[in-house]
Amino acid sequence: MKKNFLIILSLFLINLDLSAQDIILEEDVKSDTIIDKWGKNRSNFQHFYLDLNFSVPVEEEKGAELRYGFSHGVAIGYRYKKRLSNTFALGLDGSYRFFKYDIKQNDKKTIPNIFNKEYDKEKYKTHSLSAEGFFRINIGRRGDFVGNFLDVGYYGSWIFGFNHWYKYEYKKIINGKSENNCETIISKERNLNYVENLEYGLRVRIGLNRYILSASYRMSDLFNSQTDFEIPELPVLKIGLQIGFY
Amino acid sequence: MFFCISFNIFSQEKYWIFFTDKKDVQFNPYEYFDKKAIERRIINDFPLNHITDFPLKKSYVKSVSEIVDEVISETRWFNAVAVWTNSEQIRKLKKMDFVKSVKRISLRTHLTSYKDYGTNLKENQEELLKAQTLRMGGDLFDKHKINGKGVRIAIFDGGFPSVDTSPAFEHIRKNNRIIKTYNFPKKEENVYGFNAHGTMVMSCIAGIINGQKMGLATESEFLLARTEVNSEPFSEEENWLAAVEWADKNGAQIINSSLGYTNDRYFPEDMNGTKSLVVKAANLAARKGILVVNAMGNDGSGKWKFMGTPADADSILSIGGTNPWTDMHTNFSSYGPTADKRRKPNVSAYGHVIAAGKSKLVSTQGTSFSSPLVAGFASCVLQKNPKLKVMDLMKEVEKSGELYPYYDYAHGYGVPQASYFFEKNNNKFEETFDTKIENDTLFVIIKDNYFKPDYKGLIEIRLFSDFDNFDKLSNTISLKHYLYFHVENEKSYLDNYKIIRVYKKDAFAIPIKELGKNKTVRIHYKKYTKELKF
Repeated sequence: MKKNFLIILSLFLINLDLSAQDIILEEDVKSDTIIDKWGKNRSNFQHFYLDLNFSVPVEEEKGAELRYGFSHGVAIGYRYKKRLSNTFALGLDGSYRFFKYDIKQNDKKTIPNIFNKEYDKEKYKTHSLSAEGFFRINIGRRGDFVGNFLDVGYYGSWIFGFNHWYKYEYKKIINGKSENNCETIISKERNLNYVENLEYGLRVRIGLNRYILSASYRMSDLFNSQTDFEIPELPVLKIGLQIGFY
Repeated sequence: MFFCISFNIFSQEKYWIFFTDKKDVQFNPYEYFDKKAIERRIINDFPLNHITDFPLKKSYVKSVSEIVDEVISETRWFNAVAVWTNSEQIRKLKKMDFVKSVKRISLRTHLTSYKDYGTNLKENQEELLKAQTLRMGGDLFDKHKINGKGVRIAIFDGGFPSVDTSPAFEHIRKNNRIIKTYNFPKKEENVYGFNAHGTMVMSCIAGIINGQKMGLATESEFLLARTEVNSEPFSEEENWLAAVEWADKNGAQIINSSLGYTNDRYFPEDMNGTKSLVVKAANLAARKGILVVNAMGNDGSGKWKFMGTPADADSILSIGGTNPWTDMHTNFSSYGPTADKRRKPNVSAYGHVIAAGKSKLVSTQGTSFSSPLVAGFASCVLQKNPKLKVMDLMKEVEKSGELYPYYDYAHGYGVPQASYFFEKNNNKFEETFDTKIENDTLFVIIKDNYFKPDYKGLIEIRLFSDFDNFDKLSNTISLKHYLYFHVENEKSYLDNYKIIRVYKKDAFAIPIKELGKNKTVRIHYKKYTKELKF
């Protein structure tokens, strides 16, 4: 029954198709042999990437020590590369970046804060949009393949969100006695008047095809002088790993 | 850390160091070459004491070895050594007056990969096993007792596990027809391990299982060279070069190579037959009388789409893959033409086969297996006509293609047919269709005697898409009802080509203006090719 149905259906389809030509393979060689303008090692190349990066100490810390490893960020970005030759390329990079500086709580801390005390946790969190121009040197001859490369770039970022976040446990005192139960207080200060909204610096990347080691060196200050507190400066160097989506 | 990583990237690398000359070097071809190699050169009018066969000048090699970290291999043909070295050493080498040039080696290759489908042969797999040789007219070769006897074939691949134990090669071992083996990456003779790709390839040239031939050259002699380190992606071109010279020295008449270099180093527009050292070596091998048979590659459905080098060499047979169940180009088989618009592939064979794996028969696919099927075919042709020069052998294999003189860049001249070598009047075929021009349209009309509408295929493809339900392959071994149509421009390469399934007598129509001016149209249907000028 099923077989009969299929045969009838097939004959119906054939009937529908009688006026047509059943071309089962067709190749237009002219369109095939047009050289692509876009590709990994073509004139233009673009891709998205994901970046995970960490603060690293390079000099004696001023103002506050960080909890390294916990002070990290992520970025998602778009990168465009213009090929100059097999070895050299120029590029533009745009990204959204989130980073948190996790402040170690000790008496060295000079972070401006309301209570001027050590908290359980304290962080600066930044959200920024970043643009970068870079110069790429490719190592080795290759085809339409990203290969190994070294990027050196100059970036500028607009920090549109700069929050001071801290958390501590507050023991209530009732009738002069400290209660056993604590209240956890989480505070988030926005619109800080002592931070800079623009950041700039250098970035360097070493790429092994889609896997990229990145480093950025901040040349601008994170904080300005419009505060009565002693001004700290947080580490300027970050290193990270990127994965290119291509 | 970045400095260290940078440093590593720029440090030790592989280079070719090419020398200027071979002055005062002595060479005795009768000591160096195998007897078969000498015979082959005489047949192909290639001198026995050609400069490319002279060894490298020892003093040059010694001087280089004192500077570099390691000399890896050398090539007589190109008068060069492959070395591990660094940029400082390269600077020193460039200053030496006997160094002609240096070239960095950085290659990734891939053997055309394979997939295992299962262990036991199902009925349709048994059919495929029979059909993979029958499709080329293997029964005719059998009838005339042609089996590649006396022809020496070198196979370059990633390893040959079980070739020394598998029943598929027992007939070869019994007669000591594995003449020599060499493992180039490890510099030893043992090749019976590593990647099973070579084992499967060899079975498609010469395997026999349960009395059933897997390839056509079951009585040929073999040189087995392991040239590839991994099945993919990293490999070394210096091994290929060393192996081709080794094969030449040891009297190879045919080389089967199932590797291709593609986008890791090249662009499609580089596939012009001159760019890579491997392609130059393949062409030089042809000049020295060796037929190189190379897979087109499996990038047909990928972005790359075209052949990998050395399949772009003009003097070698590059083999495309067909689908046994549709009897046309299989989707993964890489397309031609070359970047300079030469015709590739030359011919095609099944790209889906039953092969002898490491421990069992496997159903597998890839143009890696189309290539050895044709290498076995070429071996039979050479046995039948032992005096054929290599380019004549290549031409004969092309002419035996079932589509010849029609061609396209998916099939080349089609699947080679043994009948070409045994049947008279091979160039005279009955007209199977008429053409007419009406209302500025070209019509192709199938003649009554040749009109057998292909409803069955149409139904099955449209409704089932289940190739297991097709007729038994061995019963439908002839071409299906396909009309081939191409438009060639004044520069003698194709603008476009197509295949039309014939299920009505008015098989095809095309407006003349779509063809363009100064074009040659060729139409092929059931062995008959008609040419029209516009």
